[in-house]
Amino acid sequence: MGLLTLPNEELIRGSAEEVFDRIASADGGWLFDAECEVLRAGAVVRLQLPMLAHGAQPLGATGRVVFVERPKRLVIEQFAPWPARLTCTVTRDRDPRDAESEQCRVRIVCEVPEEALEWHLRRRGVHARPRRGGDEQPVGLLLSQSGPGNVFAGATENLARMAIDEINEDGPPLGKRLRLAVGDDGTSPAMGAKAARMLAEEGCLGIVANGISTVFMAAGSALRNHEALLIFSLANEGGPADRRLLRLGERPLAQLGLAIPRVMSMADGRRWFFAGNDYSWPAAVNVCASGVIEDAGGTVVGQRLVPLGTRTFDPLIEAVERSGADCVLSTFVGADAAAFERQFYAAGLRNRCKTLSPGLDEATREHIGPAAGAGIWAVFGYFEDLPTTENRDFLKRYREQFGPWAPPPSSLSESVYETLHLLAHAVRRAGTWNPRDVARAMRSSRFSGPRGNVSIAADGEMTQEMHLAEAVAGGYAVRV
Amino acid sequence: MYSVDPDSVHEVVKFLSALYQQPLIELKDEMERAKPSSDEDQDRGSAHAAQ
Repeated sequence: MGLLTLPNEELIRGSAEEVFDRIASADGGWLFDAECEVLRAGAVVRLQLPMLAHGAQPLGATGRVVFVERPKRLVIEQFAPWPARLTCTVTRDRDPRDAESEQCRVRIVCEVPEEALEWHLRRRGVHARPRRGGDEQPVGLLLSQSGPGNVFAGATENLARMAIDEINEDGPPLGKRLRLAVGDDGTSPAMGAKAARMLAEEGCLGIVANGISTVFMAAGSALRNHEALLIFSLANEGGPADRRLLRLGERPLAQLGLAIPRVMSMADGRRWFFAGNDYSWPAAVNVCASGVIEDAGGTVVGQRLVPLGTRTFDPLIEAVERSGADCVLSTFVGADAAAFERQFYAAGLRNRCKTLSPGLDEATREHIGPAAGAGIWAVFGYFEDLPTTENRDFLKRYREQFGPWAPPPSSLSESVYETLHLLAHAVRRAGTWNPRDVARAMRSSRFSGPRGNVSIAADGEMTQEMHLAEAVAGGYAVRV
Repeated sequence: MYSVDPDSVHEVVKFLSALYQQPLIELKDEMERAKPSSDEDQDRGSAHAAQ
């Protein structure tokens, strides 16, 4: 993977076993405060990367342990905010001044690809422009590589690259090969607006946004004076129509209309508690859910929204417990969802309450862990577990290109793959990259992909089949 | 492949190198604290003997 290899080495007092035990300690590992349930190949890991500037907060990173050989070697693939591979090697050594004393040589080699350099350059406000610009058409991907939303960023970026490769192989629209330009919205409207402007200034005429709704709205405003089509690919609450904005993705009523009655039936209960992050999508989901619950004969016994980035949920969990809820509707995002569900499970509430989420995908479930995650229900138009030929072929291509340890595709990330294909079809049909013409061509179009048949109505809303799935060890099992 | 200001790239490389070196420095400090040097062991041993 490496464009750049950064080796660092130190002689460290202690035996290889002692040093490796410190690396793998259960109370948060030594390597960037690694949080990892069990140190084994395949385990997801969350790191805190120090930003090395005075007062700068550490940046949450996601990755996966891909190789462990105690006490010699540990390899971690970092997925977000930028891709990297960290190889830590521990070898025995002898202190020449003291034959009795044990020491070892610890070496960390970090390999970073071109995409990592691009991430850092953009963060500094520097455009990374390709030298041969004329024969390529940049297409933007605005996603949350940093902030709480970065749990599913790794798969999203992979799937965007896979779609661009496929489109270019099929024959790029209007004869110009597509090039993916990636912008990090930081799970923040202000950063999202800045990143969207940078993508437009780089020449992106189509930008796929894959973050939270408030970022999409901020990006839409930031692009008001730019000729770029902005397409929201994942689950969202809808919003005012605009000729240069499209909102695809699942809508709350389609998700909850399927899921709520079934979850109530399984819980044999009718009392709901709404818990989630405090921004427009969870608020809209809760309004929609109230109506669906009422129609299903249920009642809402409590509701609490907390800021993005919350890590301690004790008061909220106590409120759920006091309410006597049978079911929880969870609208947390990414790392917040993972933290909440782990604490909810630790408080012993998983067996008492069914949890339903319209936003907790396979990548987030991995970060919750198999025990704490078991029994969560999710509703989306796509799950990795969908037993269709199209999906099996899609997953085979994904694993061939990105390997067995790549983050799992989910509705949130797969939506980018489909949106890029839809965009390329629309450009071919429109015969132009003009955003208004492309938006018109995208409306009233159809696509058959990994999630099955999808169609876009004249108002831009996407119609697709919904599925209800239960979290099990290793992923989600589609039940409906 | 990319045309960017070399100073910006140099800054990024310097930052990444320092970032990924940091845990190594922390580990060394931690292990040094956990395992006092043999000189310190000897000093402590002499002190005990004197008592």
